[in-house]
Amino acid sequence: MAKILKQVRMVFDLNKCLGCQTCTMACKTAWSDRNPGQQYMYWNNVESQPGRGYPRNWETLGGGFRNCSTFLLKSPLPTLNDYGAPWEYNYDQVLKTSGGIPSAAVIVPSPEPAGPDAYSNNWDEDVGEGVFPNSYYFYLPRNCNHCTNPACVAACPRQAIYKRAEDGIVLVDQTRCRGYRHCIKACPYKKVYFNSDEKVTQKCIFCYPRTENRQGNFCVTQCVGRLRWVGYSDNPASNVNRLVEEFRVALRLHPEFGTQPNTFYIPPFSPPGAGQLPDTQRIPFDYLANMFGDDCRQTQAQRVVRIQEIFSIIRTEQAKVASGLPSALVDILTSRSETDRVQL
Amino acid sequence: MRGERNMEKNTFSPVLKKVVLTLTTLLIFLPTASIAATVTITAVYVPGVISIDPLDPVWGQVPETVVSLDAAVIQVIGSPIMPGWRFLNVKAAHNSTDIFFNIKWNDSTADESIGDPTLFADAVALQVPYTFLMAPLEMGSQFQPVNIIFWRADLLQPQNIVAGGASTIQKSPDAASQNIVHSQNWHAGTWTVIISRPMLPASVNQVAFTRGVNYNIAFSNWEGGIEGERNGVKMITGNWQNLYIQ
Repeated sequence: MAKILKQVRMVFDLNKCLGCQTCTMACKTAWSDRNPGQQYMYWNNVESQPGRGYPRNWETLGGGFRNCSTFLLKSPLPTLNDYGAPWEYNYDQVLKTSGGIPSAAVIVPSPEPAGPDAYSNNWDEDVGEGVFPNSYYFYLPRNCNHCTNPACVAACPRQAIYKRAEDGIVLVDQTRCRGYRHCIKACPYKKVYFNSDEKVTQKCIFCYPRTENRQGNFCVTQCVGRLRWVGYSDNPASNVNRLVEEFRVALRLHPEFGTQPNTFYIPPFSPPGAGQLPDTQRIPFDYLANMFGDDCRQTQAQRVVRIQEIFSIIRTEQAKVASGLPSALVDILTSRSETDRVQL
Repeated sequence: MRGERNMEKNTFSPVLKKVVLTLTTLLIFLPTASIAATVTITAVYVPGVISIDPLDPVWGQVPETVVSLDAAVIQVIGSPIMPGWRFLNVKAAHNSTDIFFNIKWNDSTADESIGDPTLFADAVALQVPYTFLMAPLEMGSQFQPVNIIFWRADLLQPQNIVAGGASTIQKSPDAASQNIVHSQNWHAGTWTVIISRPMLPASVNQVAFTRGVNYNIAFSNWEGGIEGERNGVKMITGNWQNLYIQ
């Protein structure tokens, strides 16, 4: 693999995600809603956690590298049903002011997933865990992490997947790919998809035609919650690097997979209950630590400490602002304008 | 290291892991016979029309050669275990303008769909070197490239492929060389695939088939299905075989 001159990075603040799926739709509309075979693909998806995610149970399927080594692991291939077969809703029946069917009072998917194996993209939305009033969930937006050590690249025997030297974006050469799907088995985040019509695998392209022109990715610029920052690793002044390196408030998703993902997450405080922010952490630290960490060698206990440290940093800075003092961190997290979030 | 990259999930000890890594780096050939057989397939001359219809009476006059797929290439450890040898029943014929290969083999299931991410289709391929030198069997080399005709049950048309070594195969980009016609039939546990192309090369991306000449030829077979064979997971002829164009 060629030396990577600089690396694209993203940071997502999970405290700001509304679960509105605007990023999902922005990505889908831009890149994967035209060609046959792409219907089931969501290069960007938002899933509720705790939940089974997209594709189903991706977190436990396998892939990545064992124990921070170069020993590549591979998972079974998810079925189409694990991703969720695409459906249409009966809008034409329910929403028509004339010509509709009055008895069809409910919007239902068609064909409707049924039976014990029923599943689809975002199937677990807002389900979460815990018992009211201490139930909890949060939204987890996911796209390709354009990993520093990409398992998909390592798995491809044809070098059809490559990591660009100029920005670290991982792409599938559509003319070299022969649809063997080793990449899907190797990617622990299951962010490479097989197009059975075009007989090749496809994935997030990090909106490279836009980022090359210093425009933000569609999922970033369309984000209603303004929770996504994008920038390059070689610019210490960019907000992605300030959040990751200077303030140290962003963590990697499942760093134990060993691929060094370049999407970072600010872990979520517990969501409000009865309209009030809780005094206690309803989302168990252990649960968050099982998901987020700095690197593949960190222990669960070390991750818990780090997440508590991050919450402490953010609460301290928020308190400063509440008392009328400035805070560079809160300024970044507020992200008033697009130029705060897109620094390419 | 390529071998490391292709390791599957397993619980090998470090020492065993190292051994396996070394072996996979070399692309393991597991010959089930110490000396792989070499046979001669004669592409017989049949004046007039030959069709890709397996019921064409012409095929009754063409001698059949049994080709043993006696070597398994396992590029990915942990992939499905090969159930021993496979055999292709190969007939070849030409009418001085087009050459035909009629390939028949046993396969209990017709795997024709890749409509689910878990599905792989049955496939068969034949390869002929461009040069008369003894090219490496593993899809030639940079200086001894090979020409491959690749049929897979889900493809509309067999592909004309050029390769210069393992992992380098590429469907030839010129439309002229994608001129292979075929028929495919699966019945009662047997695939019959008939492939034909003009003997004259359509471009530099095809070998010329010339009367009176002997060629090296090799065959591969993939058994599809759920998480089925693809890529380096296949059965091959362990040696170059001989193709004589009458």
